[in-house]
Amino acid sequence: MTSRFVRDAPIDARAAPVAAIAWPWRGRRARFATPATSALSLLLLALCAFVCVRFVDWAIVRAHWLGQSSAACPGDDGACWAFVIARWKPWLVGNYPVGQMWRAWTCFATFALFWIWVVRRPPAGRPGPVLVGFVLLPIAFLILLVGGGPLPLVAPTQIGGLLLTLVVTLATFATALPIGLAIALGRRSQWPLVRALCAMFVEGMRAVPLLAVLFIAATLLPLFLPRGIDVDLFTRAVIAFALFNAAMAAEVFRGGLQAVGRGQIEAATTVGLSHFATLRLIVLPQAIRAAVPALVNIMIAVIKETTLLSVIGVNDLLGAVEIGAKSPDWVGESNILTSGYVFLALAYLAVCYGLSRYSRRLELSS
Amino acid sequence: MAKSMAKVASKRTGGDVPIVRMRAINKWYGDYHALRDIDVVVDTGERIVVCGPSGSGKSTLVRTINLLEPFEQGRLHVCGIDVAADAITRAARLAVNRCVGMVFQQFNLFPHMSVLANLTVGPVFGRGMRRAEAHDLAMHYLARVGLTDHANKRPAELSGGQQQRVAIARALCTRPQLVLFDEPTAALDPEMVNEVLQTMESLAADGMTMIVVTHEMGFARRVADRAVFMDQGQIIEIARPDDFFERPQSRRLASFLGRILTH
Amino acid sequence: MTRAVLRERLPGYVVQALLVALVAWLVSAAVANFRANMHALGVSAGFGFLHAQAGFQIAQSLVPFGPASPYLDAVIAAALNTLLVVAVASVLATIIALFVAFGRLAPHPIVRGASTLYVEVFRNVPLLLQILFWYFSAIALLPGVADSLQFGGILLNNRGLFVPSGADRPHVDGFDVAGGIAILPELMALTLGLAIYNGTFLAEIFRAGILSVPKGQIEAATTVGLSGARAALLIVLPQALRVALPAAGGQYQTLAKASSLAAAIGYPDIMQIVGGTIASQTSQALEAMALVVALYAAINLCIALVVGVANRWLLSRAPG
Repeated sequence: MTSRFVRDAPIDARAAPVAAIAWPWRGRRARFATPATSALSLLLLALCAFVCVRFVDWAIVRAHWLGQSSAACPGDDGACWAFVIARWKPWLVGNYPVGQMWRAWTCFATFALFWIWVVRRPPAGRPGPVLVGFVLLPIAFLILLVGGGPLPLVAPTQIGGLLLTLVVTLATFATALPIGLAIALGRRSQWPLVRALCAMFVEGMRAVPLLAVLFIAATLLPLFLPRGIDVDLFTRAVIAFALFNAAMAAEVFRGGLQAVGRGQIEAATTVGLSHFATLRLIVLPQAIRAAVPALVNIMIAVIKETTLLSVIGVNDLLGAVEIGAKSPDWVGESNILTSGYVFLALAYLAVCYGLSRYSRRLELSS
Repeated sequence: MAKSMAKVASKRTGGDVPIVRMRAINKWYGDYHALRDIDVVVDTGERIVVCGPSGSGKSTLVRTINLLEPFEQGRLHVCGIDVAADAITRAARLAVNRCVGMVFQQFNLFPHMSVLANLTVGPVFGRGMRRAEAHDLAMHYLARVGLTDHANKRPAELSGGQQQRVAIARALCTRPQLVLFDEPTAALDPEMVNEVLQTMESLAADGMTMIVVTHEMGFARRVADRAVFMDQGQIIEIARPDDFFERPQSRRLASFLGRILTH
Repeated sequence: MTRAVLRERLPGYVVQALLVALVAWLVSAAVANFRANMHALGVSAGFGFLHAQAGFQIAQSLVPFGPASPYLDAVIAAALNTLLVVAVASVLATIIALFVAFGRLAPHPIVRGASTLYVEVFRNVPLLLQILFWYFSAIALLPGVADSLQFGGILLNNRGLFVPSGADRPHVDGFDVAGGIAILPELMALTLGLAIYNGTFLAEIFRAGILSVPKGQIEAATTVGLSGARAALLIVLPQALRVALPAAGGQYQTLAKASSLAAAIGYPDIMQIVGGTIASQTSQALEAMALVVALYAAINLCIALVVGVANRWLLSRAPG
């Protein structure tokens, strides 16, 4: 047995051998690993199949597609898509005047184009322009929709349905982000009073349900305003939404700011950058980029939260469906309301799932 | 005893202009006395090496010089700026850092900027230099450290040794009168330590004033004018490298050298 | 402190002083407006109304309550109702989440797929919509009292779930059900919605905790003869829980706050009774909403304390 070995000629790489087990048998081994797991998966398969068949039967085979009233959907054996199709206008724009609908279409189209632009950007690109767009868009939309001046005035309360959901989501996002960033920076301030106020705001908002904040905005806030000044419900609801989500955004930004290592701030000092220059050039770019996936999650949460507006009487998409189901044309079988709910669930599912996939894509790229 | 040590003559007599003078500097972290009665003078053009066991306060000492750490007692005099313990303002810190550069153990390059941007951000936004001028300055120092081909890369694309050399170039771009090195090779893989040490040695040969905290004793013997030994927050001994390594006078330095030179 | 330091800190002092003045002015203006408005409405202030007679009935109350009881009892009943739904929904959500978390990490593609499907579907549909669905659509499908479903002594119909308590067995009595303990359909819908929705987030939290356990642990478990479910329970789960507990605590707090959606379907909880009925009946919206905020904050604080204790207990059991 030699104790010393020296290799003189290197071993070249060779191709890997073809798998010894043929394909069908490999799959079977994984799929039916143990009796318990195979029983469980058969059960799950059966359950899924049962649910799918029943759902397809209800939603497509026996569904009623045409009609203008509940007479079109007798019984509860099939979905009442006629309800959805007939009510498309109030669900899409609420009570917006028919003559001015072009303004609503413009908003939808602009947002669709904007979103396509956002999604096609490379994930590693600078988030700055996108965030600026998110701030400018709701301002532009509100000016366009409400009007005044050359455009005929439309009261904000006439905006409803999907249009309202869109405008509220964008407006919330647009206000919550800058306010949230300011509060997160305030929590790191060297001035103790500013730190305390910011911390109190964030912890206060986090301890309270959103519905309570909305109730307060709806019933209590008018009592704190001087007599004679009236702020309509829509505006108050948007303000409540914005402040609540600003606290959530502040927490996200706080995480992003903490992710920037202390060593970098010291290095910035040693190359002669002032406090504000360090913030602007070194800290904020990295903090904001780190925060973006979580900010998208906040946007998803805001979309889901807009449904709460229906509870305080602001006519969002969910509210429009409920009003529709109670209208004289359609009141009756619970199946009609259920069809509305299923349609809504699919719509929210599509939007939120798409956004969450986008968020994951951003997270993976960073 | 401390004062007489501080007056040990430096190799370069031309530098009678002290660039750093620390008088009775004391620093506490809470209740822990981190720096005790520090008295030291560094002349322009000197190369000082600071060494000692971990926790001895070497990094703290160096970070006090550019006011990254405040001190509670004593007077600091850096680049003609006088700082008393109760007058450490942001303005003072900024002024000192415009004259003193620093190289960190963890490099601390800005990850979201290219190498070139890392070098120009200080001169452009800290000193108001014009971009074209800063660009030329940056390319000059990149050539000095041998990394011109990497100007447009991100720090993450470089090896540790390359990143540290970029960090050195970044410190030089601010045209400092003194450069502080806080254990510059401690975070590097062994095969990259040499390229960084060679860069530092060539800087020293050009006359750069530097204070280096390091465990690299070979570097200390080759380059230093004076070596400082610290333990438990105090300066124990200051001597020229030959005396420091061959004829240590304090017992603690002798035992420290014994521990690190035999393995 | 030298002049230089003071000069540098001066702007800070000035700004903070101005801030204090601004906040004080806003608060005093708001209070003045409030007083004026309340005076104009002829509404009294203070919590004296708590001793007045409520004058309404609560459909479900864990303490004795009737129209002659004071408002304070209504508040207590509402708080207990909230705690009930939060507790039951939390337990149910945790059980669901543990199954789904392990399911998402199962090697079997069907189990994994079903778990992922559950998480993605029920996480992306708004909670309010889910609760409304359970309440209006699912429970509406249940038969009327006359055709109640029966399992042993338990009766199920669209008026609720009726469970025997001791010898008292529920039975159909005309158009109603008498005897036994009645579980309101509102409670069922709310519990189901909260448990299923929050179960998805808890499942993700537990999954992250399980993934945080280093693979070396499972490998070591195999080398000492533990594998599969045994390794999962004895080795992985305790370590996973240690990591997951803080985040899970936050999710339980979210669940507690989300229980306020009871107001949308009329379940008599804090939001519905105190924020809704009491506020509108007494017109003392400020006091009522202050109570609501205080109660929810207290519940969140309790959850945080319980999670903190559990966290310390878990850490103390760790050998290292």
